[in-house]
Amino acid sequence: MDSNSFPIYIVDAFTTKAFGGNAAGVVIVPHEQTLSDETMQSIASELNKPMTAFIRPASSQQPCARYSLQWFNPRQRAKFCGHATLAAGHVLLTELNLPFPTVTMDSPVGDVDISRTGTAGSLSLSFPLSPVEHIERPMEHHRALLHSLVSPGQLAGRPVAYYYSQAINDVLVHIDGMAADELAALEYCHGVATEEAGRALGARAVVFVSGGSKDDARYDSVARVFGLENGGEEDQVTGSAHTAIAALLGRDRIRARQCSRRGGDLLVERKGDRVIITGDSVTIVCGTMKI
Amino acid sequence: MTEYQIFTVDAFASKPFEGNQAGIVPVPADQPLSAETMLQLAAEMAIAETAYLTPLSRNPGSLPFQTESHFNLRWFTPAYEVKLCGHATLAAAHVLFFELNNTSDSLTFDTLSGDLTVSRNADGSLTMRFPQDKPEGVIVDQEYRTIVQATLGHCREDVEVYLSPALNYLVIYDPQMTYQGLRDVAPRFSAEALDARKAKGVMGLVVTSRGKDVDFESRFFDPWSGVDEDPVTGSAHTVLAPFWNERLQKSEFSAYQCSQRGGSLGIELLDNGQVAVSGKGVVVIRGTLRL
Repeated sequence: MDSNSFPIYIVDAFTTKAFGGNAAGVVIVPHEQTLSDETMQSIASELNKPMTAFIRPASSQQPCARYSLQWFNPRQRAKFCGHATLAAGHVLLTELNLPFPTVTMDSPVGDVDISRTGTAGSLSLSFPLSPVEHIERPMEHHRALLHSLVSPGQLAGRPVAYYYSQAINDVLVHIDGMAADELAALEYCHGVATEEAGRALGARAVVFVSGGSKDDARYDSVARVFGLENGGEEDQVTGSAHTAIAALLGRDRIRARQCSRRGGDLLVERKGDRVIITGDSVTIVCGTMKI
Repeated sequence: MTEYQIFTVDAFASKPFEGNQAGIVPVPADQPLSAETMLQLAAEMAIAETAYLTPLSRNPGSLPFQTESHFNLRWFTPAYEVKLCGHATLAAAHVLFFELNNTSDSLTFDTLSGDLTVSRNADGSLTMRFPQDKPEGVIVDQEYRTIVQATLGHCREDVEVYLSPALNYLVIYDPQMTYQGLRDVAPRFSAEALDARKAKGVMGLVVTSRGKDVDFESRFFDPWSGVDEDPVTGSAHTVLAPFWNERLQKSEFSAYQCSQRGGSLGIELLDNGQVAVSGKGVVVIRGTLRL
């Protein structure tokens, strides 16, 4: 067991209000030190946030504009997490106010630039676009995912299309013409059929998304995301899913709302094979962890 | 923006990541928090309990956290306020004694369960006193058999079953249980078993066995609550102290709750019928909360 003290932050990402958005832990590991996977997992489990980001400067020179980034949820290492990346950027550029316009994270999805936007509290992240394939012939399992959230009666004749993104291993269910309030009001029921569908499709999560509604001009995209690997827990705000939503909706600029209970706002811009996601963050706790 | 100190403490732990977690927020009398904010922060912290302590005297210019011995204490899970929580009380006292340099020998907390007193010992451990809840043997009928079967995976003839009258904890004692056997217990509650526990009004399952390095060991389950296992349970030891007192003919015990996190407790059945529960706290995070 490594024994030491680390700066630690609890940050709400993709929100301007405390207790909104998605909570993340951020742990800064000094350059001279590496933490074992076991220790990082213990810290992430102890923090019990949806995700904890571990960042470590790439060189001993201070200040440093390049960091390595790893994500752990309370159960396991994660392959891709947007909101904890935003939280990590918030700690470096806002809390520690590093003298750079951009810091670069060497992450499991390659280099991610985190840049100041000119607006205090708001940062932009550059992620790889996650391509989606349209599922021409949806299976019973796909419909089971849909019906975990929407009964046929609630659809009111709105067309549904299914997609899969291999890059993030999410199934996306696009429902035409859903307004934010309407999607927020739906109750997700993770039943036996959902469980079976999740296993059969081998997907990480199901993303319900609508390319906005004529009745609500505030948003170009509204979404909700549910984990299939962890018994139907709702992701409060999911940056990674929006790298696929950008591909699915095929628009250059999307004002996105994730209408979970805590709720989150993201600006999603497509630039070639990159997706620039912009959002705000709020620090709830800054402190020191001693292990 | 208002700032508060915040600590996370592993209670009944000898090192970080053991014991039962509590967040502790000292709330100065002139910076009160609403119950709504207390609950929101407990949900954000997402650990077993977050507790708030406020000095009961309001002497201006004094240093109440250092000099007072009476505090109001409230406990919140991520979902609701609770009436009694032993480990967060121990954690609150640990913060007052060892982080805020309180000079009292003992502290009294005004809580939803009345006054609770915590005293400090020379070895850095803290002691709380609770009424004992002596369990009484029950006749193992079909419903108890179903509960034992669901808990242990068997219900041999020699398994003894006791119910505590105040807390309604069911003590399950298998005289053939091995050291590893207790660690391997994994209750699986079918609908029938859930019905049986409801019919019997059982509020917690305590499985106990002699220990190797300690007098006795235990685990505590409430699979119907959403949290399957409590890592360390002070209240269960108010039942276990009289139980082991009869078997071992002694009144002071070393106890270990062998959950995955594990917790060490010193237990004493006092002449006045109370049970003294002692343990140590380990502070994992020291930080500043911004609201």
